[in-house]
Amino acid sequence: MESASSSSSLDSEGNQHRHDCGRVWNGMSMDARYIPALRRLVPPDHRAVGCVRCMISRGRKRTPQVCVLVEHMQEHCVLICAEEGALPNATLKSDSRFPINVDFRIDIEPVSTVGGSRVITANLSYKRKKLIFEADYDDTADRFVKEISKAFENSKYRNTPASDYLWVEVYKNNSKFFLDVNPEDEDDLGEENKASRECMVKCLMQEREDEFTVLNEFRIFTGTWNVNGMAPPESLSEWLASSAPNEPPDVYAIGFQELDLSKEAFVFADSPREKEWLLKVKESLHPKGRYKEIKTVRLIGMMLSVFVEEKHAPFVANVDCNSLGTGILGMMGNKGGVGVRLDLHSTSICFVNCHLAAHAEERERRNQDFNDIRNKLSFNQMRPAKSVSEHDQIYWMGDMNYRLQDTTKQHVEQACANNDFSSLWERDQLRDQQAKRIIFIGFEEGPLNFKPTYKYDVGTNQWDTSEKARVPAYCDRVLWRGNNIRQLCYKSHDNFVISDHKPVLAEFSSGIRVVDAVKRKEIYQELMKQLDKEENDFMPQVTVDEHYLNFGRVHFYERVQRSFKITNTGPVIVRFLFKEQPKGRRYAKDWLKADPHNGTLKKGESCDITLEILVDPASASKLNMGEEKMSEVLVLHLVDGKDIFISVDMEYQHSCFGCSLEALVRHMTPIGLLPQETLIALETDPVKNAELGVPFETPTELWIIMDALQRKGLSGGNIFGKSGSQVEIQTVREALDTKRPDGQLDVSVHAVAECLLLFLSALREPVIPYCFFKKCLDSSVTYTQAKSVIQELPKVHRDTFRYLVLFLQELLQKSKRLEVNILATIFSAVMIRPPQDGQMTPSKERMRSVFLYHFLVNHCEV
Amino acid sequence: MAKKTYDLLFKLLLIGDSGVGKTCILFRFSDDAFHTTFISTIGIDFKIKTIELHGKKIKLQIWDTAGQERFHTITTSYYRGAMGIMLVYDITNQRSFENIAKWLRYIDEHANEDVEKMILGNKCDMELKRVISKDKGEAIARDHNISFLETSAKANINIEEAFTQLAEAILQKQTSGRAVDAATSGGINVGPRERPALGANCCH
Repeated sequence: MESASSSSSLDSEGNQHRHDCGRVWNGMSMDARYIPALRRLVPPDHRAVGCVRCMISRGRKRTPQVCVLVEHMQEHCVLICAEEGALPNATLKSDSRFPINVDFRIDIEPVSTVGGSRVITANLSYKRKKLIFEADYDDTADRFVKEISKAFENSKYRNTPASDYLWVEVYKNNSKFFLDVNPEDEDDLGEENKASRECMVKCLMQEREDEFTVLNEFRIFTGTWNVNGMAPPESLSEWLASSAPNEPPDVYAIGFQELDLSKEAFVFADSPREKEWLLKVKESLHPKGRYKEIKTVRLIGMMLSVFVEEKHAPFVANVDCNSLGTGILGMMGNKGGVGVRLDLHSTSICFVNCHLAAHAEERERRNQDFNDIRNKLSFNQMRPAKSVSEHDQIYWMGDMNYRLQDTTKQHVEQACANNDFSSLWERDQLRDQQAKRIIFIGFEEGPLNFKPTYKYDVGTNQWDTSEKARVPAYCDRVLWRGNNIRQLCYKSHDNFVISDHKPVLAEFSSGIRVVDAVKRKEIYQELMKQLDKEENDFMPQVTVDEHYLNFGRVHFYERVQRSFKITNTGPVIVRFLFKEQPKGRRYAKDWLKADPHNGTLKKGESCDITLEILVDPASASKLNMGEEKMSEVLVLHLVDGKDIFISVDMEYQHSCFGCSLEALVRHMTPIGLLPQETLIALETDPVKNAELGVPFETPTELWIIMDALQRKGLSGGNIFGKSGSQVEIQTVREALDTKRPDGQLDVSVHAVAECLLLFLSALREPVIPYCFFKKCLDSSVTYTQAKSVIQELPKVHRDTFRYLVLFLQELLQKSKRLEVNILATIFSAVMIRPPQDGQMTPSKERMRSVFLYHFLVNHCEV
Repeated sequence: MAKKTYDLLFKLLLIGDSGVGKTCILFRFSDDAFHTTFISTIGIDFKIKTIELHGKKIKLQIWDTAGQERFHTITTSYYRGAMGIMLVYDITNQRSFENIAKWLRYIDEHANEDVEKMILGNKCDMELKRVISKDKGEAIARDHNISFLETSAKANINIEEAFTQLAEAILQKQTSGRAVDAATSGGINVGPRERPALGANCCH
């Protein structure tokens, strides 16, 4: 029982129901384990009537599912659901719906035993949607199926006009039309969905079959005769060619019983009678038709031959036959059935000829025989094997041996004399058993407007005059199941007197689905187009408001941001990311960064992406030299979709940051005022393109920085302890690049100190050139060794090194708060840099720090 | 579980100068439509279309590339993996024709060696503005031993044919050379799956 809540109410029995979720009827047709899941699935104004776990087969697919019967305003619908998660917390998702109205059909098969367990099977269909339901047979499953059956029966007797079942729509997860027919698709995106087109196409084609098939009327002639082991008479034409003279049947299916009663027929497969009768049949078919024998199958005395008009032969496919003995020991072939199946155009047809147990009192045995044949006769060359019931049309003939009960021979004779056959039907065992839904469920039979066909005195038209004086009976019958079948004629022929039975014939006008190949192809292509379109339409789509971002002029270490908007304009969720550039390069050059660099956008959602440029010391020299293009194309990739290019342009203002010492000591004009070509020339060959004949010892820019630091005072504590602001650093850079400052720089000492570090780390070649890096680390053990490395440096590097060391020593003297090892670490990192491919490790960092440390604590002798 | 509706998957690429009509060709083929407004493709887009050739269902995945010069380094990185490339020029644009040599070089440098190529002279409905004769187009194609068609996305001339021809050539190459192998060709062979006979093994 539910706990009380504000929305609770009591029903007539005093049970509490919560009205904010579905009503679930915990009745006998309900697997109680699913009640929590049903409460979530079923809306408050619906009612779950039943629920069972089952196997559902659709076409070739067989999947475990949960079948639910729901009700709303006395209308019912069967939901086929997928079960997600484990019980008791499972969730049910409906992936197809079968409204129970005029388009609905249910055909319950009798319970069968499979591998020791009992299984209940039912065929469900809604319009052209078909499935087979199988469940373990227990009270719940039994009642569940009966509930569906009852709902269907009741739907026929409803007085109100049928609604369009819009209430069922709430069970649709997704409006994508194919999900309705596709049990394996969930609303997940990606490969899963795309991969299931195979099944989708099949289902969709099946649903549209009516559009590319036409029903053509075919005449199907069926005949059955128990010939009592006799040789054939002169001719069978009166029986087999009794159709209208100008209307030869298109298909013949002729069944015999007791064709051969000889012992040999039991023992040997061969029977001379077979040939005799077959020949006679062929001679006696309608003279206006030319027939091709499609198949003949015989089990001892039972034989079934199928012929088609020659013109139809090319449209017959998948012919198969089999037989099943139900006689002595349940296997001997004196009783049982034989069957032939074929596809005629697009309609599958099965013919069965049977001979069921004899004797009036053996009714149960006959029922058993019939159900055995129906269950066990299968066509095994088909893949998958097909049972009798899996055919569009079934024609079932034979000596069924059902008798007239509770009557006398006199009464039968009287009724026949008066042409009052209907009084006999009421006493017919077959009709009685069929009405009780024991045999021939779903089969139809025309009115028996002819005399009982058994038992006659051989050679006469007289009913049994022997001592037994058996009550005549309609032993020989033809029944059918399937759509579009109209019986034209159902009668017996008295003039054949060789047997104690009379031959029976039933002729039908049957609607055979003929595929219009051209139309089918059209629809198939249309479907393909539709699915392609859907696939194309369901690709992730976004718009970006800017494909091109121009950052204009950008200076060294100047942080510039621009942003653009990306909006999900498609029908699905979008995952985006900036893709790696060709050859495994990062998604953008080092000086460019995107934030966020990946993300997810729901339908209609937007997101701003900020691009930031920061030319840091590592990129400065390449840009100075024009070695790296000042543009970039970012690839914005949508997962499972397209790529969008975002172009970024900037104009980098070359700077003294990023130049080489060699160049810096040979020019007078501030670097920023030089044309870039001049700078490139100066860098390429400093001596040849020098402005100065005699170079400075150290770069003017470095001198200016040092001078500014001296003026601002070095004693104020740790000058490297804080960083300068963006504006301050740009002020210093601007001063160094464009003019020779005569006065003080109007910035904090920290900003100047930071610029010193930036200047050193941006140098095209570090103070200790790359090629000396390894040597430098190797010589860090003693001061003497370290000194010898410095002696080897090019002059300007050596001079700059000494200049820096002297400055640092002075700094250490003046600032009591600076520790020598910290200073060594800070400056070694910018002065002693590894070559581009060199990896830094903590031990290498320690060694280069030690290298510089020697010079800071000893008298500088280089 | 392989249950695709197609037997083979072909990846095709459209390249050529900006404005020659690559996107329009693709749009005509996939959606059977034509837009007169020119929107430059800034990126790589693709569409799929399923066709049938010799009873085989072939899914074409067609990549449309940006033609602008500035994107060449990036667009060429998409060449690898393409099984067919359509090189498009505009019969009313001399420059786009002259650039064919450049595009062919890109193909040589970046595409798979056995890629199937095709040259399309698009906008063949614009006879009055024509500057490249059909003969010239045919000649350059012949010189490089590549098949050639003049097309019009606008008037829907030869669009379907072009894709069918290219797909046909790829199919020929696959079936004549090595056996079609899903792993190497990107194609996937699909066989029907079987359902166990009903009730034969009820797996409850």
